[in-house]
Amino acid sequence: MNKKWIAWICAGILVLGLAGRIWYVNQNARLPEINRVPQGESAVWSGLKFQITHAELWDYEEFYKAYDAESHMFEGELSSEWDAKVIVLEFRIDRIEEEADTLNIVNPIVYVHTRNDTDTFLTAAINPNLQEGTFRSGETIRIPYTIFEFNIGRQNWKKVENMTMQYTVRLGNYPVRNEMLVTDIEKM
Amino acid sequence: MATIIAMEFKKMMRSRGMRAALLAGALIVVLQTGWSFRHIYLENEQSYRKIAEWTYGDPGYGRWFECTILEGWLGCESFSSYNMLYFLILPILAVMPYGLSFYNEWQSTYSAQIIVRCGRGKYLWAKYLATFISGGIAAALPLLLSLLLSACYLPAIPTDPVSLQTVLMDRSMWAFLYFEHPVCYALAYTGLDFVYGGLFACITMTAARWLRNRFGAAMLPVLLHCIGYYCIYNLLPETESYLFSLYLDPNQSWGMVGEISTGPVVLTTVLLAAAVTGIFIGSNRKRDVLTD
Repeated sequence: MNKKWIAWICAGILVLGLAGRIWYVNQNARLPEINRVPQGESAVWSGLKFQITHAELWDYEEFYKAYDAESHMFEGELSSEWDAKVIVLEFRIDRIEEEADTLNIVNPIVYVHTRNDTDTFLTAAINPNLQEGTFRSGETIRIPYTIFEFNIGRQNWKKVENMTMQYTVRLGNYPVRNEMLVTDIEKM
Repeated sequence: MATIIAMEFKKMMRSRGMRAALLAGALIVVLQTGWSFRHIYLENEQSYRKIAEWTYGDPGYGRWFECTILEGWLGCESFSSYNMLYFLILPILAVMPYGLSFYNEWQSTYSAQIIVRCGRGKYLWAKYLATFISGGIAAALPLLLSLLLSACYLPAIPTDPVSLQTVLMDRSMWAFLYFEHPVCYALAYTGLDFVYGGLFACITMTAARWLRNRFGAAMLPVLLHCIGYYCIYNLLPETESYLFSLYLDPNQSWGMVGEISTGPVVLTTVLLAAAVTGIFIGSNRKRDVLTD
């Protein structure tokens, strides 16, 4: 057997080895179990039960006028070039496990390939029961998410404006990813 | 024509410059892969082992994410400095294999011998093609090697925007591929960098006629790259879509550069390719092989 054949056989073994390794890595990817929850139904996460009871979409300026939410840290940064809107989700939250002693409301909303986290300052500003510390299990919290045209581009912004954008609130990711679908949104 | 092209390709693939460029590219890839394996993959594995211990109060509770192939790919891994290093020296790597071959052959009058035997047109086109491909190979092969190595320990799963492990925004160029089909994104961007690697090599080959200085000609693409990145973009940010310096890197400057989109990128690339080709062929069409 000449050197050329040995080189080809070695190359073949290398290619098979790499292909096998790549196949193994992809077969063993640890993907979460996805639990999709339609609007109005509840999902359990971190010992709490979450249910979206209402959703509304506001123009950015109108929202601030309506809620007088001047403590918001991003207020005033909106440029004339890019638009923004605020989606407000009303959650009913029940504590279902005794050891769940943290009110975990920092849950991101996802649309297209963009995420927005809960704006804690703004959330506190429009929920007096959180500010005053009187929130009890079974009450509702209104969580606003500011959606910037800058992040998603003009094409996707049209979907936001004509109310066809798909929104999902994520509760956790692994081992179970709860995706709370937001489908019924009132335009304010 | 086929004979002269085959000869140029053989010379190009066997050149010391090609070996040096591929070696330098491979070295960066191996170092970067080692870094990302240690600091991205193993760190994430460590977190994975702790999941069972986390309870409701832990900040990481329920928020573990599998790493994806692009997080280890040289093109998109930005936590280390290897990505920045690679895309800074990419024009130099592209020029190394064959960018100065035409200049050297013209100076040594080897070109005159070939032109007499096969004709000027054939020689110029064969040289242009070989130089373009050499630059493309030197620019793209390390990216492909990095993708292959990354695939050996990270799965090719879609990138989750919630994971905060992403480098693009939704309005970035080819964001759909990045988030949904990461391997296609890597391959598409490698293709774009292949074209620019080729163009860099051809820019050097074309400019060498007037610069006369080999080092100056070899450094011209990296100079243009830096002028675009550090000078023109800062002075005229609205030109961002047309500056190759900004879109060569698959990170697209972490998505912070506003309006990079396919249309302007294609237009810039086509115009640049047409200009370089036109100037090279035009300026050498009637060039004296002995005195010029």
